[in-house]
Amino acid sequence: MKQAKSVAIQLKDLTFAYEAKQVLSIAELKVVSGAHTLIYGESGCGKSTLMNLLSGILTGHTGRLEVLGTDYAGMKPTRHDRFRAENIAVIFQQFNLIPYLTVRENVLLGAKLAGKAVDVSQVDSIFEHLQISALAGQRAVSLSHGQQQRVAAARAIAQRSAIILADEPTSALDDLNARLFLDLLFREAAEHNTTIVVVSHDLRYRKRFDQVIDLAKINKVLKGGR
Amino acid sequence: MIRLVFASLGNRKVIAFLTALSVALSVFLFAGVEKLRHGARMSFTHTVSGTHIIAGARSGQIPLLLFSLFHIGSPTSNISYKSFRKYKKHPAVAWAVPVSIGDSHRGFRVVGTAPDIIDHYRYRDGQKLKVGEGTYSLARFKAVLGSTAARELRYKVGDKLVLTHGISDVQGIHDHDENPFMVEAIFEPTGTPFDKGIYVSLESVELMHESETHGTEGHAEHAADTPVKVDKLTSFLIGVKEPTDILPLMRAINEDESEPMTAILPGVVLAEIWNVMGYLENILKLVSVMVMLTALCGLFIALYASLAERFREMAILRALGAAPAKIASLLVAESLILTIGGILLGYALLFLTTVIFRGALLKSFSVAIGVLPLTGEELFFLAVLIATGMVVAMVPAYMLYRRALSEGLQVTK
Repeated sequence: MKQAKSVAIQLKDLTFAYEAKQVLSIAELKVVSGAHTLIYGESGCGKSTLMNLLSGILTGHTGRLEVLGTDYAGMKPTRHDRFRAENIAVIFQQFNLIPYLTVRENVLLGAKLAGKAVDVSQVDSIFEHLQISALAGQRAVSLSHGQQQRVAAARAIAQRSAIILADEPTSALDDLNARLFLDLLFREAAEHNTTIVVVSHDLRYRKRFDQVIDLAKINKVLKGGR
Repeated sequence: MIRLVFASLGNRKVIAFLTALSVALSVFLFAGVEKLRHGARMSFTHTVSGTHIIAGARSGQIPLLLFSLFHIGSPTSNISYKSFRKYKKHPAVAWAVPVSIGDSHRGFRVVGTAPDIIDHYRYRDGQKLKVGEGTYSLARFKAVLGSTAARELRYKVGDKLVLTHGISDVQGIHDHDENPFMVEAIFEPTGTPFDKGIYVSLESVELMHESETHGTEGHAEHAADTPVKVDKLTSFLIGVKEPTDILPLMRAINEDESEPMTAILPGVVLAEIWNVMGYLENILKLVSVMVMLTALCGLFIALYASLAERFREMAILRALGAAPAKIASLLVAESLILTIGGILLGYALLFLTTVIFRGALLKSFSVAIGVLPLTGEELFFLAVLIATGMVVAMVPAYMLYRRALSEGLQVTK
């Protein structure tokens, strides 16, 4: 019971196949609560698959997958959605903003749909930090890739979830904006003991993470995986 | 969340408008056919209003009504003017107007009557006859034309016309050409068979036939001051003082021993005739049903197409934690806005069309249509349409939960 509290994510003998082709096979993976974990690997090594399994967007795995003490095995889709809304914020690789809503509406949407109270001053502070205050009234469709990525990041942070999962969150950001985003992400995480899992092929900021995992080494499907 | 609904619709303005327009056109078509059906029925069954009894020579009910109101067919015999006067003075009778048919003019029936027909004759919910052009007197050898007769015969006030004995489309040997009538006025359209009549006074008809029988010519000089004795007429219309007088008076007329007569209730006989011709209404009903089915299919396709393209958007909302009920309510709200918006737009189009074409329909087809009140069939159709809009919205919402979320988000695996 004590372990369930300290371990945010736990995988054991996890496998996932897509159209009869196995794409992921991980013997064991643990992420401690409040830890900042970077999982890196080349394109196609299963990073996004792992991320989507952790968020419950992909289902159908075998083996054990436990998040915040909740076993995903046999969980119904609606229960997955509710669990994600309550506990997990996702920064999608494709941003997944609602194009016709403004930046502010997009950022507030996540928290509102999850039924969480929205702290407007906190949202303003996030905007300021990510340098998107001037974009607040603009529709998402009019933003550049980099701006959209920052909005997606702002939305995840504003959700105040126990876990933030980020799929290539700095892929469209220049060095300055990438650093600004990570500064904010780690500061917010430290304040709220948020567990962060980032999957990326970008190793520039690896030193800022508590745990760095090479997916190629733990995914047995891949050559070199254990 | 309502902001999300309107923002979504605003984002797809053109598609949303086209969807609403397709609903609007369906509603316009269905309601239009319904209005025409209802209008045709009302125009027929409300040919006369406020006339409680029609009395004529002993005959069938339908022939008596047809020649008295529709000026169709001919009476087998006449009744005496004495009987008309007797019942006009009857204590239960508020008014009585004589009708005498027999002559025609270029295919239009000439109706001999009394000048006070304009005061008593009512049609469709108690509307009064109105004179559109000229001055109404129905004095001797003056004719007042129904609107259709005037339009088709291209007569205007001041023109002269010669009556023909019997019913004939052409002027010929039976013309009363030595006794021409002058058109003094033209009635406004009523949308009833009244529009097809040419109205003259009973005295004029009597004088015309009398002068021809006796070989007298040039009525205009002597007719105005010559007393005329009217002997016969075809039928007469009666308005009673109290509704409770109708049946006893009918019985009195039907059992009158001084002269065999038939009295009918025009409203009842009109409804009977309409039922006999029910197949016409059934055809229109069939058209309505076909329009309704086509409209429902159209609505389903239009809404489904516009909602299906938003599958990814809905998947994003689901990924952010929107509950199934919330997503369904968003889709249903959008669908309802489009459906109800389409319905309102459809009725606005119908209203505009009726405003523009009401006069032409009345003149050409004697059918009066209006948008309100809505018929039972229309209310049913609208309810089905709204229900369809809701069900259609549920389909993508259901599919979203049936399909894997990863499909909606198109996530990489």
